[in-house]
Amino acid sequence: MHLLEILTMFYEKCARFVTHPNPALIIKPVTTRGLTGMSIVTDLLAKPGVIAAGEYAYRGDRFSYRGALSEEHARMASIMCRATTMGANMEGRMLEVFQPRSGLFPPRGWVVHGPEYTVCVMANVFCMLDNAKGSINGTIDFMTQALAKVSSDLI
Amino acid sequence: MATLDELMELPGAMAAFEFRGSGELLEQRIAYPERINESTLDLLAHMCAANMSIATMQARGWEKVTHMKGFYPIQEFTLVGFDWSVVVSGLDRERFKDRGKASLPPFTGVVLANEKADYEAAFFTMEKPEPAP
Repeated sequence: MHLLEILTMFYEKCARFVTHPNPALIIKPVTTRGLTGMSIVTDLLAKPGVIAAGEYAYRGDRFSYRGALSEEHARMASIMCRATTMGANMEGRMLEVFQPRSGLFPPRGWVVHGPEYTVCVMANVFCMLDNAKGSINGTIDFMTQALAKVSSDLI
Repeated sequence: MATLDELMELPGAMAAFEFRGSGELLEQRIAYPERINESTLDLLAHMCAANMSIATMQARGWEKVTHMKGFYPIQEFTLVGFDWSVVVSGLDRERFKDRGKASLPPFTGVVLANEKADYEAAFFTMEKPEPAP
C-alpha cells in the first residue's frame, strides 16, 4: 500500500475520533463495514458490464467507490442510493407491521432498470451495470450472497 | 403489455397486480392467499408507485447532471426483500407517452419468491411489446 494511502487512512480514523460529535457513530462498525464492502466493490468491478461500484455509510456522508465515475458523481450516487435504501427500509417496516412475515422484510436492496444501465443496490453497496454486457441475475445473486451478513442495525 | 396471467407464469410468482400511477390497486392475481392478500398488495402498490416516481426523478436528475444517458426512463423498479422480491414496470406507460397518448395504462407488478426469481425473465415479460391491433 502506498504511504500516502496509509497516512490518509490514519488521518481519517483519527479525525473521526477527534471531531465526530456523536460518540454512537464512532463505536458502530462503520470502518469494518467499509473494509468488507471495498472487497466486494473490487469483486463487482471485475465482473462483466460493471462500470462502477461503491459503498456508502448508512449514516453520515462517507462513501467510497471504484470505476468510471468522478468523485462528485459518486458522491451524488451514494446520496441517492442511501435515500432510496432508507425509504425502502421504512416501507418494509410499514408493510411488516401491516402484515407480519410478509417476506419483504427486512429489505435486502433494490434495483432500477433503465434502457441501457441498471443500478443494483444491496445493503450499503451500489453497482452500475451495462445491460448489454452484464448479467442482472448474476449481479443480484452475487451481491445478495456477499452482503447477506451485513448488519442493518445502523439503518 | 404483459397480462397478469403471463406474469403469474414466471418462476416463483406469488402474485401479480396492476395499479394506477397514484398507487391504487386495480386488479390482481394471488397464488397464495394465506401469504398475500388484497390489502397487502394495495399497500405494496402504493409503495411501488412512490418508488417508481422517486427513481424516475433521480434518473432524470442524474442524466442532467452527469450527461450520462441510458438511465431514463426507468423501465422497472425491483425491491428485493428477505424472501420475496417485487418487480414493477412502467415501460408501457412510456410507450404510450412516446405515441402522444394522454391516457396511460396502469403499472404492472409481480411478487416473486427470491429462491426461484429470474429478474431478467420478469423484465423481458414486462417489456414485451403490445401486439399490433
